[in-house]
Formats: sequence, structure tokens, C-alpha cells
Amino acid sequence: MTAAQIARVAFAVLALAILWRVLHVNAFVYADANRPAWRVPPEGAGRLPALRAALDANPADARALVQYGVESDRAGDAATAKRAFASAIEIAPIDRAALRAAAALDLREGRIADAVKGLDRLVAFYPDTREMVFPLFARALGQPEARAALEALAGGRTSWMGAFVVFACRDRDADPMLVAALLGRRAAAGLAQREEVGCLTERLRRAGHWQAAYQLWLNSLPRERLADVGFVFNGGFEHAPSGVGFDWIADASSAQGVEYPVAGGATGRRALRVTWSGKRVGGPVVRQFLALEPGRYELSGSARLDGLQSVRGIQWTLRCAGEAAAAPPLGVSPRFLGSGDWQRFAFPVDVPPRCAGQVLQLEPVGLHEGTTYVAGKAWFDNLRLARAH
Amino acid sequence: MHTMGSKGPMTMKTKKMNPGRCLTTGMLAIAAALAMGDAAAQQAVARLKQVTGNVLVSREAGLATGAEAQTLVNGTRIITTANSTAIVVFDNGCEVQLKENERFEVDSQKPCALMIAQAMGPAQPVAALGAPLIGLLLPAGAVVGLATGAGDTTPIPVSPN
Repeated sequence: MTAAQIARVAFAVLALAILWRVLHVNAFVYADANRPAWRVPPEGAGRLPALRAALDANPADARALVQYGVESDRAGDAATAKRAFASAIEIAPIDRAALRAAAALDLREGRIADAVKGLDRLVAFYPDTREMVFPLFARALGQPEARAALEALAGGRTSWMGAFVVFACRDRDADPMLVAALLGRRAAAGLAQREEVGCLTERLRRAGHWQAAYQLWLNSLPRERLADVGFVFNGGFEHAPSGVGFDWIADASSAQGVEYPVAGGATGRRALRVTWSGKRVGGPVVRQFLALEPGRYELSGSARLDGLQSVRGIQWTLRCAGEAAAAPPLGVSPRFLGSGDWQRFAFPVDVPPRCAGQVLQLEPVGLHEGTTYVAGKAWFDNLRLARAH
Repeated sequence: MHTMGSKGPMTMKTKKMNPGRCLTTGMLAIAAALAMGDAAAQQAVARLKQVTGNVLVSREAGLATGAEAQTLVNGTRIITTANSTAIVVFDNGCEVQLKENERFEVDSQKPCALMIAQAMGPAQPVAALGAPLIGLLLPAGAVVGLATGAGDTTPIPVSPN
């Protein structure tokens, strides 16, 4: 036999071996292109030994380990189950079945921090599991150990935490104060997003937790914006309002447009410009929630009018939040109508006790009586609220 | 044009002494006394110490960033934001330590112990203490679903090791 013949035979043997391996894998390990066909031994006393045998043949078979853990748990051997799940996760750290099974066991056995850790990985790698895990997390917030574990995650770059905060914020059964603690951690780490802050500050306000809402919003502000928060935030309109929390919230529509352009003659560079198209207006065009302590204040500002037409004009009002529109406001500006260059205005505001939250808004006069037509433009700038003595 | 109007300048008239002047003088004296009282109320009674992070202090027109050694008058509100702390040192020696996310109103008339207790953190939620955890965490059937991975068709991922 020549060397060439030997090489050909060796090559043929190798090719046959590879072919056998391919056929074996496709025929026995995978039933089709995507589904492993590792067959779970039938129910009964023989199932665990069969799994044991499978693992003896391939100790690195993560799926077999998971099944072995599940069967061990069913047989009342939770310790073995835990070890099997841990081994499966060690072999395949993001194995979906292993993560789920381990978390379920941890939950049942009271290892809450471990369960949250496992579910964190599950949700991070399999976003579709949010539908199952988020409701669990929302309910778990009421439990101190689970809350501590979630708060620890919230301070880091957990990819799903923002979505969970929004989910929990919209979950009627979740205590907004507990969700606020999570968002507080995110805000402290500079991770809080506009949607989270907006949703939760509104939820807290509606629940009457005004100070908590205000604190949360403060914590979400960048450092430079904290330098001059004021009673009215961004009263000079120098920064584009975020539309959430205790910043300006605009209600632009086809009837009323809101812009913050550079304005000649204004204090600073920019000002608020509202353009009414002459259509019916049924609500305030801009508003800002406030969290003032009871007492006497004065609200001042500058106004410039450009052909503003309406039956009774427009005005700034400051009201107790949540009160009926017909209730007397805490303060009302002069009425604005017609045209004129920049001019200062001011009006007193009395905040009574038991009025934890207020809303400052620009609205047509007599809004509570129904919609009204407004046309023209109005500019406002340098709105400032100060304590009166 | 908006409807607010400007009032004319105040006018002063020179007159001889009359009985009304005594009343005016008396009123001025009262006003002066009130002003003195107001000034006393605005007198600094404390200052900030060891300010870290963003500590906000209320002023005439609202909250602004507080600074180290900033003097504080009665009625001033102090808010610490996340990762921020400060100590309010009163002239009488009382020191109130503020941790993050706390609010405090300066009032030198209160006893020191009360002021220390007054530093308010965020309101604590009512936790569902005592509820069986597994029942709290998992609705009926969820354990089975979670454990068995019902409907889970994801292939086993390859270990990164």
C-alpha cells in the first residue's frame, strides 16, 4: 500500500466519521432545524436514573441538568435541584429554562435576592419575559428583601429597569412611593428618563404625595438646573421645557401653538410665545405644577401682546391642584387683550393650608364656563413668584 | 393692550400740625417697631456646614443651590437631593445633620432635639409585611409556569466559556 493510498483511506474514514456525526446530531439531537429533540425520559421512578445516565454521558448537557433539577425538586430534593440549576447556569449562563427554574426555586425557598438576581438576567436576555416578570417584581416591591434587591439593581445600568419603572408606575396595585424609591436610585445615578419621571411624578401628585413628587423631580434635574429652581421653574423660558414633573407643560393643538423663540426686548434671550388660531379653546395652553408652602406670594412677569382677540381675554391663574375649575383661584393676573409692547404685571397669591399642590396656568378668562374663541399672539417672560411680606 | 393700569405718583401736601399728625407719628412708630421685628426675624440664626452634593435653600423667589457657610434665617427651608448631605449649625450650638432626600425648616425657637427629629426624609410607604412571600410574589400557577418554562422553545445557548 502506497502512502497515497493510505492517505486516501484515512481521508475516507475521516469523511465518514464527520458524516456520521452530522447525521447523528441532526437525526437524534435535533428533530428539526431549531428544536432540540433531547427526549425527557418518561414519568415515573425511572426518570431520574435515566437523566442521571444522560448526564453521565454528557455532564455538560445544560438542558438535562435543568430537567434533572426539576425532577429532583418534584421528588422533594430541593438541595439537589438547586445544585443542578446552578450547574446548568454555570455551563450556559443565559439558558432561559435554567434561569427560570432556578428563580422559581429560589422564590419558593425564600432566597429572594438570588431570585431577583436570576430574574434580572432572564429579563435582560429575554425581553419577552418582561410580561411575566414585571408583574412579579411590581408585587415584590412590597416585600423589604425584594425591594432592597431591586433598588440595588436600579442604581446600576440594568437595561430593563426604566421599562419596569414605567410598568410599575402604570400598575394601579403598585405603591407609587415604592416605585419612587427605585426611580430615586436611577435619578441619583443619572439614569432616569423623561418618561419615567413624567409618569411617576404625575402618579405621586394624583396620590397626594406632592413633596415626594417634587423631590423625585428635583433629583432628576441636571446639576446646573438646580442652581436656580425658584418657586416657578424656568420662568424665563430660557430652556426648552421638558413637559414633565414641575416644569412647563404645554398643550399645543391646532387651536393654540406654543414656542420659545428668541425674543427682542425680553429678559434673557428667549420667551414664551403662544399663538391662537382663532379656533375654540377649551383648556389652558401652558401650565406648571407647583409645590408651594402655605403663605402669601407675589407672581410677576412681563407680557407683550400682538393682536390678541377674545371676548374677555386671557389670564394667568394659580389654583389649588385638583379643585374644580369653578373654584376661586389663589391668584389671578390682569386680563390680557389687544396689542402692546413688553410690560410688567404682578398679582398676589395666597396659598392656604391644606393646598399641598398648585397649578399655574395660562387660560382664557371664564374657561370654566365653556370653550371660547381666541386669536392672536401673546409673549410672556420672566415669570417669578416671590414670598410677600 | 392688557388692562392693568399704572397708578399715578403719590402726592405729598404740607400742612400745619394738627391732631391727625399725632396719630400719623404713632402709626409710623408702630411701623418702625414692626420693621425692627421683621429685621430681627430675618437675622441669621444658623449656617450650613459640610455641604456635599446639591443642597437647595429656599430664598425669596424659591429654591436655589446652598453653599458652605451660608447663613440661614428662621423659616428657611433646606432640601437635600440625591447623594447630598449637609449640617445645619445653629448659633445656640445645635447641629442638625441632613441626609440625602431630606427636608428641614430652620426654626431656632424649637428645642434642639425636636429640630433633629424634624429632619424629614421621604415618606415611608406601607410595606406588605407579614404576607407570605411566595404568595405575594407569585399568583396561582405562576410557580409551575416559571419552573417548567411552559411554552419555552428557546434552544439551549452555547456557554460563553
